[in-house]
Amino acid sequence: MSINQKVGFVFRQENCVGCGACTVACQIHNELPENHRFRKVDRYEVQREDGAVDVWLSHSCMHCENPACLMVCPAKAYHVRDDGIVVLDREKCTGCGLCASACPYSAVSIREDDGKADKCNMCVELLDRGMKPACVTGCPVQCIDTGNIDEVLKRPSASKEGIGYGDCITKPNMVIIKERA
Amino acid sequence: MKINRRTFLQGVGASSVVGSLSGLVPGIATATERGGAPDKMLKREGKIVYHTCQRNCADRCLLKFTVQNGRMTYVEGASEMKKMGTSPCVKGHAYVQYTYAADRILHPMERAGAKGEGKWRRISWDEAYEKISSRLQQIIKEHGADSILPYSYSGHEGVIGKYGGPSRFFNAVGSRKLDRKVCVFAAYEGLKSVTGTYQGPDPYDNIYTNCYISWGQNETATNVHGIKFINQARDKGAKLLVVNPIRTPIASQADIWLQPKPSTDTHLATGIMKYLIENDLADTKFIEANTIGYQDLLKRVDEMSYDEIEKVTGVPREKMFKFAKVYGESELSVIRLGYGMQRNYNGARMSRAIAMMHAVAGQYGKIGNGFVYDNTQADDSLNYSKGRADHIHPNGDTVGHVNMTEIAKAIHPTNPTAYGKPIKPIKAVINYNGNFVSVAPDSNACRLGAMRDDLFLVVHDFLMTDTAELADIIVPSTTQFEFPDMGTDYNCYHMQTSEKVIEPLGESKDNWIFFKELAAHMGLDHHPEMRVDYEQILRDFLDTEEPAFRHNNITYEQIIKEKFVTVYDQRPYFGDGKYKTPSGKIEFYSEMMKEAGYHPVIDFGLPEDEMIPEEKSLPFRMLSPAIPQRANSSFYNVKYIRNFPAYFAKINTEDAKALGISNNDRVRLSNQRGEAFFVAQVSSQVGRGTVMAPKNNWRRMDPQGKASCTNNLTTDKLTDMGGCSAYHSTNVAIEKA
Ligand code: SF4
Ligand code: SF4
Ligand code: SF4
Repeated sequence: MSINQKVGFVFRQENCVGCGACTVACQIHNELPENHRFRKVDRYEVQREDGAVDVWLSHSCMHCENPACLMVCPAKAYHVRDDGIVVLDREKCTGCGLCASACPYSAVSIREDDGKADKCNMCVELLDRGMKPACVTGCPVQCIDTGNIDEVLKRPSASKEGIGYGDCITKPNMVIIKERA
Repeated sequence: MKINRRTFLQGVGASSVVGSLSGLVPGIATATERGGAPDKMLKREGKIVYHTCQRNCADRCLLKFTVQNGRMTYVEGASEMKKMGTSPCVKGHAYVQYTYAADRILHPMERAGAKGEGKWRRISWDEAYEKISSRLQQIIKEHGADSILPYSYSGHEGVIGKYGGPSRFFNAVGSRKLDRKVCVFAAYEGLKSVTGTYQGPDPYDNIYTNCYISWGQNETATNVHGIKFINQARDKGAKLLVVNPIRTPIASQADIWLQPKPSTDTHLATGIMKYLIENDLADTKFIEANTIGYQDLLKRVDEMSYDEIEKVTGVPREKMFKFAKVYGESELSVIRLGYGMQRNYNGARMSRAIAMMHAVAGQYGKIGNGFVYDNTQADDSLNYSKGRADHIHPNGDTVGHVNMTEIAKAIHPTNPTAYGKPIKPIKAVINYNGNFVSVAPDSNACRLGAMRDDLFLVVHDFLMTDTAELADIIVPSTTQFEFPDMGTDYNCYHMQTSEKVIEPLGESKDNWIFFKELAAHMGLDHHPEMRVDYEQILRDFLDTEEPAFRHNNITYEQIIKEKFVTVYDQRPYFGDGKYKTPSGKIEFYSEMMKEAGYHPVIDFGLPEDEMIPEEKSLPFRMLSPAIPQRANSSFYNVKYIRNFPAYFAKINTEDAKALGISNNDRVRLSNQRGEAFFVAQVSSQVGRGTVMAPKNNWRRMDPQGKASCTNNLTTDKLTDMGGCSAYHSTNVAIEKA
């Protein structure tokens, strides 16, 4: 597969307040069943010198370079677009659940309503119109963005490590920007 | 293959600082449609209507709704407005689901069993009007019009929805007056005693500050759109300081977070003043030019020792000193005071101490400093008496008043009181824009009163609330989206439009049409004020001589055309050094406090001093603040929102251990007012001896099926000044359920 540019999520974890607006904006745009979430927000209690603090991780599909979901899917329902976005064609999905157990980021799950897998396609229908995904425009704190990951990674504070998030063999495309220590 | 996310857990290391997020390359030039779902775009096509969120939230978002064939299909933030950006909050996103909720009440209903039994008979509007008007007329004849009490607050905060429509009716009737003082009023008094006002600078200017102090405020829940301005300041090097007994998200992100025991803020502010004074960080030049009573302050501060402060607040003094040093050395510092912290028996006195502290630091009068509490510049400029038609109330000046916080006392079956004095019984309550059984303190007592057989309860609402289920008659209201209105925010000085988005659903009628038609049925439409249209009500409110309006030449037409206008623009706030106190200066010594019976400089009284022994001896102080996914009692039924937990109790780790409570255990909180059941969230987010449970959750939606809610426990005693609610001065016991 040829990947010309890698679009990924950019997250300023230091600014996330765990409000859940991104989750809901995504559910509404994607018309998801109420209990199905593409984007989840986890809270971590982290020990610091002078006590514990809360840190939130807002995460969805990482649009990996070596997508585990794609590799295990017998129905060939997954596809990587030219821009690196991993998309799922639900028409082809048989609901075997292999992708859901393969994804190291818990980004795929089986929907209760039709028994098929579903996950974040980075709102490509919005991206293709020059707009941003629903979670990005839906965060009132403005701490999620999308961008060309190769470019973003050149910034000194960029990394694939954050609280609750790390790199792995699937080569995820979410970058954490930590501009303030 | 599964990687446990916790294996990535790591401490927070140092990292360097570079530009901001905005320079990113979208990088989608060669994208193809594959994988897209173009049909999802359909709901974004259609007419755009501007409408202001009217929940009781300082942000008061200006939203853009897409409408197709009369149906609202999509909502986004009015990005042309700086405060908004592209996004509403988590709740605002779900407004389409809120409006088309499956459980909306869409036709009038009459009780068909005993009160609260849940049996209803559908009736027509004509029948509803006939029944309501004949019963009210009978009550007026037998007991007088002042036996009728309106109850409402923040269901719709629009100008017509809140006051313009309904108040005209109650004025025409000549009803009892409701003092809508559940919020803010204690701090109003406290702050007025220092600078003469509770208003402050424009939060847009927070981006210029060197130090943002969040004091008793959870921005995530009640001012989420302000956070981006704080972050812009921080990206330029500003410090973030937080004072809060609960570890809010902003507290977690702060440079320094102080966690005082609840309601000990007077002591803490005094400790900080003491440090500033002793370490040459008091701004003596500012103090000399702008204040009176500084010598009295020095003396008073001297009387309080660090030992005592440490003991009362529970804040280690080194940490407080660190905080005071960063604050005192900051060139520009802005304080954002929360609305919650002043809901305490000592609310006015605490607010006063914090505002005084800011004067010792010399932090008034420049762009990037100041004190932000309630920026009602736009709201206060409106002509309320004309908008509400106060002049038609037959005895408006002498009729009795009921404080909404004391509604349970006012409708008590045997001993009705208001402000501590016996009152003439109330025979009818008309509840609109509100849900007092969930929202008012002491919910069990509220229910007791509402269940009275001789109390006629009419509820105008679009959901079966805890209050509606006790009604005699329910009349269906529209949501705010089904009639035109305007709104003012209380953070950024805006007056905004609220265009009608859709036609009323079912048989619902909005806050003006219902009261206007009821007035006609009762023969009250001889008042021309009862026959006007929406536009006339708005024009009456805008018929104001307030300088903020007149100087800016603000007109009805302008607001309709431009969608939002900024009403007031004194910048920098207090830049002229003129304070609104009797002396014209910042008052460290206050006659106003003295007259209220408190120490004229700093009063160290605590809520415990005023609790009955039975409550005082209970081991936990319960705080019941807002959570981000609810606005008072709204959004409890809304798809995508209702699954966010709202029936939990945050308990400190050590306390939980001592009580044998683990995370997710069921717990029972109780005091002399009642009991309530929650799911335990064990965490150091709250300090020892403190428990936090979300406010205003509904009894009928209690997931444990026990019809319990936080307000079963809360106090309805009023604050020291301002007649405000004091929910947080509540003590409870905790046990495993
Ligand atoms: S909307 Fe933004 S701030 Fe809120 S949880 Fe999501 S990423 Fe975090
Ligand atoms: S995150 Fe999971 S679902 Fe997404 S591409 Fe990677 S392996 Fe697949
Ligand atoms: S509740 Fe507040 S933040 Fe949310 S949409 Fe309404 S005004 Fe905006």
